[in-house]
Amino acid sequence: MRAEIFQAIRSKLLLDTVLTSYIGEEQVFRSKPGAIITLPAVTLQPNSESSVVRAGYNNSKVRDNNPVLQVGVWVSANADGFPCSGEDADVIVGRIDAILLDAASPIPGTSGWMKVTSSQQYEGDTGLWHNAARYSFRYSVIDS
Amino acid sequence: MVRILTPDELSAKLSRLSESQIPAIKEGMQAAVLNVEACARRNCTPGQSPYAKAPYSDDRDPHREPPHMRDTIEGTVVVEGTAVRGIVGTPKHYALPVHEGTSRMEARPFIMDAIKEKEEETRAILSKALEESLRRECV
Repeated sequence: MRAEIFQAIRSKLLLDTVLTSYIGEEQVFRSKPGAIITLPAVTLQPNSESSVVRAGYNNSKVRDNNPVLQVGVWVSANADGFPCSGEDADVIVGRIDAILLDAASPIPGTSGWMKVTSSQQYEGDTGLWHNAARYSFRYSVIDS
Repeated sequence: MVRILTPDELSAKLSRLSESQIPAIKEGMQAAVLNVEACARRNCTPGQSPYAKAPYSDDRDPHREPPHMRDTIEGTVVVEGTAVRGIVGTPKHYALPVHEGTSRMEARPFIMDAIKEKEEETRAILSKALEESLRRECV
């Protein structure tokens, strides 16, 4: 995924005051397993990405990319208050859905957002609730 | 030969059509599921996997009972009314953490990536199955 698209997604999430009221300022990171981060947090991990040249590519040089973005929501069950449960993690994912799937206010340069999967796990040894949601979307690039 | 139908006859024929296509779509879905299943297995195979570390455990790992997760990935087709669903999965209990990632391990979505990679082929397989069935029905 292009860096500017990734950054636009991160910025859009961080600009949402409801989401930041849940997780705090600057709590959206690129996923780096093993990295120590303050919880609660949201991580972004690009999964697969396909790219198809558009008809007339020889002249226009336009390609349409179709990436899948994995969004992780991490909540500690040991926290004193919200968010500290699987249900709280669901609330955060619900807000992320509202931000990313808002067709009236799309992330600049992107379109066609769809949620494709959603799951929840509890890590017993670390006491972490982890929701993983995946979204597919489209953006176009113009090759030089 | 051209046959002219009344609105009721056309409605009845279209209604019959949607049900009569299910076996063909099921057959097409079975082929599509096999295609995705093979890709998911490849995603778990060292040397062929797109991930830095293929989700394929060491045979000496005491926490991993044989068979390997890769070899348990299977697809099935479920028909419910007029809905035909293809399902690809594995019964291994550790498949979800591998697929979705944990706080210490990067996600390796071996099934989701297979579904996305084979999306166009899946559409083509299903379209062909439906097209051939419709031709048989209508000609």
